[in-house]
Formats: sequence, structure tokens, C-alpha cells
Amino acid sequence: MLKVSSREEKGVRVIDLNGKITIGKGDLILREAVDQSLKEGQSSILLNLGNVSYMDSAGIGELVACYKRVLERKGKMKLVNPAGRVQDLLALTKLDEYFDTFPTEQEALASY
Amino acid sequence: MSDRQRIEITMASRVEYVNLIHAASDEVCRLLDLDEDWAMNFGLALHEAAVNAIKHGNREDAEKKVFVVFSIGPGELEVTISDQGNGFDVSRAEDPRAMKNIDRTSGRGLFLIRNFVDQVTFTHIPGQGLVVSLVKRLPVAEKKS
Repeated sequence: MLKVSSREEKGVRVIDLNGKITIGKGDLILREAVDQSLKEGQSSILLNLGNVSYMDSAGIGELVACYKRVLERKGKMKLVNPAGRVQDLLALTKLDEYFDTFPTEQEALASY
Repeated sequence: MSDRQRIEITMASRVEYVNLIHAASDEVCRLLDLDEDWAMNFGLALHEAAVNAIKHGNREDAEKKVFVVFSIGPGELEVTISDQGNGFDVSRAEDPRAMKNIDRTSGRGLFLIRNFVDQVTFTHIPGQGLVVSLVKRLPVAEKKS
């Protein structure tokens, strides 16, 4: 199960994700959180992956889909603190080169 | 007599059942005393193959079944995942890491499967469905001197 909470930091919607981003549940929860931010007119989004323990191809695909939707709204979606398994999967699929990814929230927020 | 142990699971084509298969894989790995990394890699490959069988093979038709067979043999763990669909042309799967595919929102499942097991084979049986076999060699136990 993926748990989501959101907060505003320096004009950026930080979405803290905790759990697994997998097909049928986590991917949909992620989509909803990003869409909610866009619906509220906030298109500067930072996904905090520090507590995401696992992703499957559907979760990876949803990250890409969210990124593209934010881009369509002239916004920016970046990633912070991917660790362990998630970092490995992003590197394996070369998406670590596709997404703007930062090791710390401070560095990520300074980049907007 | 076969020296392989078999565990068979039959399930309806519902995406939410994939977690059951993943949990079964974790438990088999635990019984085999495999480490967490090994189990996660194998579990993800099986997870992706099961999703493919449900979504692309059986097209989420709950009347159609997915058959999963764990077969523990000397030196390897094999799982076959069989659906009741029409199969697909594996050779058409593109590299999701290629520049032209990098922003695709799907198409990474097969890539992950191939990365996390030692051998993958696809056998389409006309009128029956697609059988995907995943084989991963078991780590060689260190001998005590």
C-alpha cells in the first residue's frame, strides 16, 4: 500500500510517498496525488521517493506519465532521494537520466 | 521419480491477485534460504510475467485462468506462467532504454523480466495460450572445510 502526504515548501508541492508503487493501487494513488496538485494550480512538484521501497514497471510507467502531464501544464516534476531498489530500477531503465533527480530536498527545492 | 518439488497455483485473471503470486514467490525463496536481493529480483520478474499474463494474455477476462507453477530443482528455481490468451510476438518488444522509447509509459515489463532471471522462454501453444518460463540459478552454497 502506498501512503501519500503533501506539503508546500518554497512554492513547491512536495509529495511524500511511503510504500510501494505497483500496479492497480500504488500507481493510481500516485496519479491521483499529482493530478490533485495540478487541479489546484500547483505544477511545481517534487516527489519524495525516500520511503518508496519498491516499484514495478507499472509504477515506473506512472512516474513517466505524471512527468509528462506536468510538463504539458508547463510545470516541473522532479524526484528527490530515490534509494535502494528504486534507485537501482531508475538506473537500470536509464530513467535516472530522464528525470531531474536530487539527493536532498534542499538541493531539489533550490533548483526550481 | 523426479527430484523436483512443485507448487501449483491457479487464479482468475485479476490484477489484484498478482500480490498473492509475489507473496508465494517470497515464501518459496524464504524456504530455500535465499537472500533478500535474490528474492526481490526473482519476485519482480515473476510479478511482471503474471501481470503480462493477466493484462495482455487474458485481457483481464476473469473467466480465463493464469496457471503458475514453481518447480524447485537441483541448482535452479523455475516458474512457468501460463495464460489462455493468443500470445504475442516477443521479438517486437523494443528496448525501453532507447532514446525514442525512454518516455513511454509502458513496455518495461519484459525488459525487467529479462534482467532479473537467467533464462526466459516463451512458448505459444495454439488454442491454449502462452507459457512463459523463468529460470534462475540458485546460489552455490559455500562448502565448509
